[in-house]
Amino acid sequence: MGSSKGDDQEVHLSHEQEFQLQALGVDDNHAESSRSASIKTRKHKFDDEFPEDSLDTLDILDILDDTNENNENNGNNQDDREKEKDRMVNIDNQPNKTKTSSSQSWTEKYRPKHYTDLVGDENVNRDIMKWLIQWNYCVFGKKEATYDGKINGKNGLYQDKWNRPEKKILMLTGPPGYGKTTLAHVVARHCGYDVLEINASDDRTGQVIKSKITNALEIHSINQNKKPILIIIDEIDGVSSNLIDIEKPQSSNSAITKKGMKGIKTNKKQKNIKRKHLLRPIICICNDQYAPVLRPLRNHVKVVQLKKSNTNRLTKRLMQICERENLSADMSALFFLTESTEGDLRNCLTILQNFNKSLFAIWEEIFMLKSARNKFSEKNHIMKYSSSSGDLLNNNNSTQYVEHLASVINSNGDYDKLFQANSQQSFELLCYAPYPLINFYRLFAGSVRPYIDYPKRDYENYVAKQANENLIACSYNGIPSHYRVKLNKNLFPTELISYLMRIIYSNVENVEMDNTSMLPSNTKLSRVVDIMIFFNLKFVQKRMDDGKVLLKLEPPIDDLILSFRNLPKKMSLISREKSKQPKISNDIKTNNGLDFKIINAPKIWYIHHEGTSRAVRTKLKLRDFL
Amino acid sequence: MSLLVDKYRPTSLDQLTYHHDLSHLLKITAHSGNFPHMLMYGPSGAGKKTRISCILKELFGEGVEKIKIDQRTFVTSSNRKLDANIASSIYHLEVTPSDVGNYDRLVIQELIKDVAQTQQVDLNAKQRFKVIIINEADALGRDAQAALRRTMEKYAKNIRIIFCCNVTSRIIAPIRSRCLLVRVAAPTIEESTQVLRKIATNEKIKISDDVLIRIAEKSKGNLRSAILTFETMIMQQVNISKTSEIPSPDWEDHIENIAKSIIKTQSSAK
Repeated sequence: MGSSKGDDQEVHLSHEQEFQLQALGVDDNHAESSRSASIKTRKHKFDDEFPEDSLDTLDILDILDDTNENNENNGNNQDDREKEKDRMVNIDNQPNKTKTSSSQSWTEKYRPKHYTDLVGDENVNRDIMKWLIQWNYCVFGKKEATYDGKINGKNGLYQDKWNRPEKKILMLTGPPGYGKTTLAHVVARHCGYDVLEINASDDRTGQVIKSKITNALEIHSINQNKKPILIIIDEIDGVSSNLIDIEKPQSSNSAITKKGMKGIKTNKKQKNIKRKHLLRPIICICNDQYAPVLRPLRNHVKVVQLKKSNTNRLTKRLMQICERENLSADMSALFFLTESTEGDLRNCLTILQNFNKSLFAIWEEIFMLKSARNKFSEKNHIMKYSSSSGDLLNNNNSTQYVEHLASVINSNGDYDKLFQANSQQSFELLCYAPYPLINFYRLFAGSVRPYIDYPKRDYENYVAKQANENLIACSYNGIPSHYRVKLNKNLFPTELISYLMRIIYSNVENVEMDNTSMLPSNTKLSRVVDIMIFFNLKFVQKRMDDGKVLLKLEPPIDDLILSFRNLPKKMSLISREKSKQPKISNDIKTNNGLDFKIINAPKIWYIHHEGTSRAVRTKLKLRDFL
Repeated sequence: MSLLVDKYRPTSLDQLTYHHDLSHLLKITAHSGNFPHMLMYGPSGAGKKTRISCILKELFGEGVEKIKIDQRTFVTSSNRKLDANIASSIYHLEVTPSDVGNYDRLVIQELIKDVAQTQQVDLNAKQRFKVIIINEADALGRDAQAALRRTMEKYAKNIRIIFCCNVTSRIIAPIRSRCLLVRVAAPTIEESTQVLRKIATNEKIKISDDVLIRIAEKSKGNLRSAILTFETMIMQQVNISKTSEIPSPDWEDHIENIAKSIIKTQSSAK
């Protein structure tokens, strides 16, 4: 915001000033009418929501700033923006808000602002929170002595000159719409950081990012009373490999800090410049953790995978939103919606918001008998025009449904997409275009709600293929290079993996059950360990959705094998053998002990009903169960 | 090497268990002092790469087994960066140009010309030339192959090229005419059975000939797959009898199932 005029001008929302604001916009070369329009609506909103006095501190430039999303580095604006955001939250939280601002998308509007608003898996949220809190000493420690108590307690875990967590970068992965970005922002704000977001909209060539990051860090270390910055790199899988290259040395550099750090007592700023240590947390967000560009980064990051949130919770949240938007919706319909989008909350909201305008609504209108639809929409008033169609039903006039449908079809601008017959370009006939469609209603309409969707199989398969290819490439690179050269890249998935999985899993099943097999089980086990070491495979404990801990292969190439995917029995077998399996994975980690013995009496593990909170944990003895 | 496939991979021409005529021929060529460019072709799992490494050993001795891997970056004209893995010893160099897709021409031009223009400096080396192995030569683009034509002749003093591919039809005629074509046929069932038997006795595993023959039949001349199947069986199954099932890769089963269900109900209903 270059111009300084009107800095402290207060907003009293009169019409002249509105005009003035527009003029200001023109002055600043922000002449796009859309922007000034959005300012206008926002001002109206504030006018409605707040009495005059609460608007005292809001100045025009702030509002302008708010529309200028990219201007994030400007430290001065940050606080004001924050304030403004808080206001927005207030607005949202007012329960009986009648006027909805149609300009704002619901996904933005109902984005969680506080930690308690999050609907995702509590365990994951806590995990991230914990990681971020580990930074407290490094980031806040010098200023705030209150954290001292915590530092002493944490020394045992991992030694670092700045008491940083072991992995300096956090990587959030998960399918779109699960709330990765939101989660990162919320947690960061919760822990008292300012967020610097770098996403696909910005220029992301290596050098630009580098200067951006160092700038951000340095500015904030000088300016002591500002909040420290946290960098969120969104959509990192789309980034050019340059960026990763830059980040990697930073993080690996910082990993070496233990060796030769003399300047512990020099101030932070110097450290930043001289040695490029990463003194601020970075959160990366991506969809596919096995994407090839992320390969160099993977060893340096703590990967947190977001799971599908509980459908019930999502549905409840949608219900709340619908209530607030004065949209009476049926619980089961919302449940169906969340199910069909596979937990993609953003998609759900978009669908809800745009329900009225879509082609789908029209299709539904055509392919569903009116009476049945009416019954349906009594439950589910999402469709705006249900009232009008209800009127029609009353006099049930056969000619009127034609008109009604025609108007419905016409109401959508690009209804010619509904059927593509106008290939001769005879536009004078276009006005009759809706009528053939009406016949569809006469002939094909049924009483069941049709499930209509754009065909997306193709894309889904494409994504799945991409993911599998990344997985293959990832595991292929895990093979020692001298062997990799001999192995054709195409042969690896087709010939080797299938047998490899059988060899690895076969052992697990047979070890305990028999002693009469071809090989003594001891040698079998050591062979499997050998093979796994060779191919760089590990068993890693993973927590499933239902709270069970399973051992999964890392990288999970068993996902590529169809027969294993269809055989949960085998997985359960493995989980049953888990008392033995950790030995294998331990062995692989230490890479030396092939002389372990098989435990004859496996430990018995009882999984007590586990909640999300681990606050209460009681010791139970075996006899309590008997 | 932990998989049996790798444990029992022959390392010299004398150890090869089948195609003895071919081994003999290769040995003569290696010692003739006039080693030609070579084009090895044959089905997957027939032993092409094994033979190539044997030839190298015959040519240069133990030195070729000290392999180092490095990644070289090539920059295209549009400033795209490509990474290619190169395995090399002081005597030879192994690349898979098709790794970089359409830009294989670049790898050929830059890398191979580079090597071709430098002479062998090691005076103790048995041969005055270096060997370049090009894997998956049938996936090479036309441009890349054309780029090779002149290089092969011009720098024949410094390099010999061994191509390794499945079919020759996609190799352009000028290159074929510059090479000694060596066909490595798939082993017959008896030959694969012999190999399996040898492994079984070495590993002290009791297994009947019938099963071995069935494994060999199932693998259809692909020895790698045969040995892998064999290993899977001894790891997985308690007692291998004459009737025990021979495992096949799961995708094969899957495709088979699809094909079966197509034949069963020839309608879109299912």
